[in-house]
Amino acid sequence: MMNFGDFSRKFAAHLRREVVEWERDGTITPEQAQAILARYPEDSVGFEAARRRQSLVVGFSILGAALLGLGVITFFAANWNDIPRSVKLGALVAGVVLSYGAGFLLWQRLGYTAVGIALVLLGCIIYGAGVHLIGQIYHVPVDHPDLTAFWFLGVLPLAYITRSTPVMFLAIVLFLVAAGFRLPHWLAEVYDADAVILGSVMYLALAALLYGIGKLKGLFEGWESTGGLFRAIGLLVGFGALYLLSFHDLIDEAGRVDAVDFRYWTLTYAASVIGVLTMVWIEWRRVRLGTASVVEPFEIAAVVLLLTASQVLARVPVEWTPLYPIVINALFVLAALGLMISGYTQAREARVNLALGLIALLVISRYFEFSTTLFDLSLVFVGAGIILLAGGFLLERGRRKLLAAMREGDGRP
Amino acid sequence: MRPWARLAFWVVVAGQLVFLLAFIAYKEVDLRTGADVVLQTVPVDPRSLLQGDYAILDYEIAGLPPFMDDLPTGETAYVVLYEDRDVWRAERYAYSSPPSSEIFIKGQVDRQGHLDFGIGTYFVPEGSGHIIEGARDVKVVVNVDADGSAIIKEVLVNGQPFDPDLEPSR
Repeated sequence: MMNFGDFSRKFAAHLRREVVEWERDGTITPEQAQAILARYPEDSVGFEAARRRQSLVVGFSILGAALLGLGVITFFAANWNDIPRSVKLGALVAGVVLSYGAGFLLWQRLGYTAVGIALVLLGCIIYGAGVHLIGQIYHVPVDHPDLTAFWFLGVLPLAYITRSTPVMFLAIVLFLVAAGFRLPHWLAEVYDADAVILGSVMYLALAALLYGIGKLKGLFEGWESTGGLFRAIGLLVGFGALYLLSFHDLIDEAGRVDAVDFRYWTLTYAASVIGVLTMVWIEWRRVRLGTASVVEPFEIAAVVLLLTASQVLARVPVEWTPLYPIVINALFVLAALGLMISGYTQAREARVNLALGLIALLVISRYFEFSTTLFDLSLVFVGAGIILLAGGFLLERGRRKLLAAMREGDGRP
Repeated sequence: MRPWARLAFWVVVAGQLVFLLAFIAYKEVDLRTGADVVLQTVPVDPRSLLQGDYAILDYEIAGLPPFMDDLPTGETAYVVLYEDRDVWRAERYAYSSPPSSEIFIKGQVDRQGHLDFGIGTYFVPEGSGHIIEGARDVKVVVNVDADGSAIIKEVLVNGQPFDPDLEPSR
């Protein structure tokens, strides 16, 4: 049976009328007409319409929960003097209980999954507001790294228990933010440019960890959706970190890194090792059991190469400066091409589009970085405009060719 | 959802509530068991997205003496305090914890070479930060426990407890 996710009710109605005509004029036999119609049963078309409605419900519910949560946070952030401390805390505790209670009831008892999960997400946000409200009441400094970590530790178990993608998304974001809040403490002794380099190196390692976990989740039934989320965030964070490292000026201003808190290195190395070992184990398991490939060997090689390069950048003396930007930019392009190839071989349009966008971003960034000191600014804008138009044309042409090839390979019209 | 997952869901929710209450209890115990000191400060007024308006408090005793200039960022130092009329001042600075018979406050060296006592932020009702920022004299009542950890109790603006509804005379 076909994937009905791609067919609308309108298409199916049109097809039914056409099939009747084809049968009437003898183009197809009654058996063939039956066979064609059997491929597009009305239930499936109805299912597609229902799926779209459900997506809308999920979108509205999550947006509603996020806005409501933002409202609660900003309400308490206003720190109204007229509301006693005990009332504020009581309201937050009640808010947490009510959100989780209503969410659980709607989701588990009444079958309103989307709205129920959205309310659980709201509970997670109100819990975070509670942590920060208590911090506000006792004047815990805003940049205190423990507040976001406490929030993350409260949300993570719920993300696994509910298997909800929005709650997992919140947990991953909190994890990344909590790690970021640690950086000023761990890198207190290093200069700003070095701190940016080391921060990017750490996030590259965390991206490898998320990507590896995402691959691992793909092995288990029921976890494919959150696995995809881990991989997507891992890719975005990894490319974001690599993009920051690609700037020539950053390397130029870097000094030397020798007074970094050991916890920074612990987290960075642990994340790198766990991320890589997870992918190696998945590949080893595939070879041993003869199952379908989940991790491509080139993915492991790419992650190891990027992590190694970033460690060299963080560790080896700054006299190597001229080489660093070239190497990092080349690695960025290679990684993006790898992403594009994997998108092509696995028929994932989004990956191809992302890879093309990343390469375009890198080209434009380098153009501006190296041109402003050489040309008059007006020439830069004219040149950038021409490059963008020409690049857009070439990218669009390449993308169309790639996608057409992918569709042919997929057997689609 | 399986029965164990339902149970786990409510256990985590209960854990979140217990954590929030324990966080409050921890801070309250600290506030009730330590000694109160009044410290001189100079504030400025930014805003946090999650926690609202606040004043950054720069303490008079945060500057390190010359003999501690080479103390690396993140290192701990102790300031032994003495009462000088209406405010507590630094009597001496120490690398190690002073005896418990003395009142002292613990801080970590920040990137500017000053001591950060963990009491550099005072949250205020929205729009009232300028009262503290514009005042001619701002002192902070701080509670310090036996190991030198500090919590802000209240802020005194021109000698009076901070009132967000009142504009102070300059």
